[in-house]
Amino acid sequence: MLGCGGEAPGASAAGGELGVLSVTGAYAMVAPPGPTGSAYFTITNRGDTPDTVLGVSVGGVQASMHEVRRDGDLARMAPILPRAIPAGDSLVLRPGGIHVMYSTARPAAPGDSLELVLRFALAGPLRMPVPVRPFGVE
Amino acid sequence: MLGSRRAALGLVVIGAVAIGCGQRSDDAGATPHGLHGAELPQPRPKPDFTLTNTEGKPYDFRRATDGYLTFLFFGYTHCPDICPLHMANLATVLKNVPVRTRDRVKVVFVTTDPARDTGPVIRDWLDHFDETFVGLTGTEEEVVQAQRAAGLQPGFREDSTAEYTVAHAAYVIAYTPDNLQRVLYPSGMRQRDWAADIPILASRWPAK
Repeated sequence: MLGCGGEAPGASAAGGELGVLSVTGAYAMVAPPGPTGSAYFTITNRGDTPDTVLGVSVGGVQASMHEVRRDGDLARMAPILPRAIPAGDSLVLRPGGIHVMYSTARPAAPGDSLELVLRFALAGPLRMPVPVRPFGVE
Repeated sequence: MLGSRRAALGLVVIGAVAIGCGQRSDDAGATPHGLHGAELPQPRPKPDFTLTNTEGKPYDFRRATDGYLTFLFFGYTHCPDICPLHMANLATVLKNVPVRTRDRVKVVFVTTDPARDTGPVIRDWLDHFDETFVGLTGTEEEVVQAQRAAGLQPGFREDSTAEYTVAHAAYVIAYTPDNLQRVLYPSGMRQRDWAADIPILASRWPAK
């Protein structure tokens, strides 16, 4: 594993909860020039039954969740919803791995806040504001 | 007494290992030369290809980058994170290296999606990161050959929708000033990793 994946100190991230589901470390970035962006967070299912992410929207627009998989040299992206989260398990989104890909009507800017909605099969919709960070990984 | 001192030493060792990972901005990478990318066991010569730059002119990669620390990256402008992150991170770091070093670095982006990525589209995209980054396109066949010449599996369209994504090798290839490929940088490289490596790459293997 090259690099250690640590967070830059002071980087803004948000959290949210819905019953036994919690979302932590949520942030978005907008790839220049916009409006396409990516969002990252960790969903933890602290319950004792699995739940499934059915869909995601950002800024009121339906978004997609992709996973980057290695196929030899190649980075391949595949949509992964619906995606079950087993009881006691987490789904971790990070740059270069699983990410939400979204496009808003106007490009968001660093410092803005976008509403993230995750729709779960059992728990229903989890809504939370997500901060937009400057693009790049320090 | 002896027991507690050994226990204390043990704790210090564990602590050093635990904080050795990414906590300091100048932590050296893991390779023989202290780099954060993957060093090739055998350096390879630069690939021989000529593609079309964002001004529509032929760009002979070997000739144009002769003697420069060269970063070559195959990607596409509709790529949501890997491609813009590599470009943004490199651009940010290069803004902060001494001019003397910066003048000896070239960043070359080649599209793996020539259908959508025309010269002007690439130029516009690259200018958001750095106006000096070179952008190249060509026919599908030329771009595939260039990837093969660089030792990479060629990328391809992943689906047939209008918003298609493109599978592509996500590495930035580093050629040192002596025109040899020595390091591969995968996605996930951070600005602090580039900042640590660029001085080494720029000086350790000078142009002949």
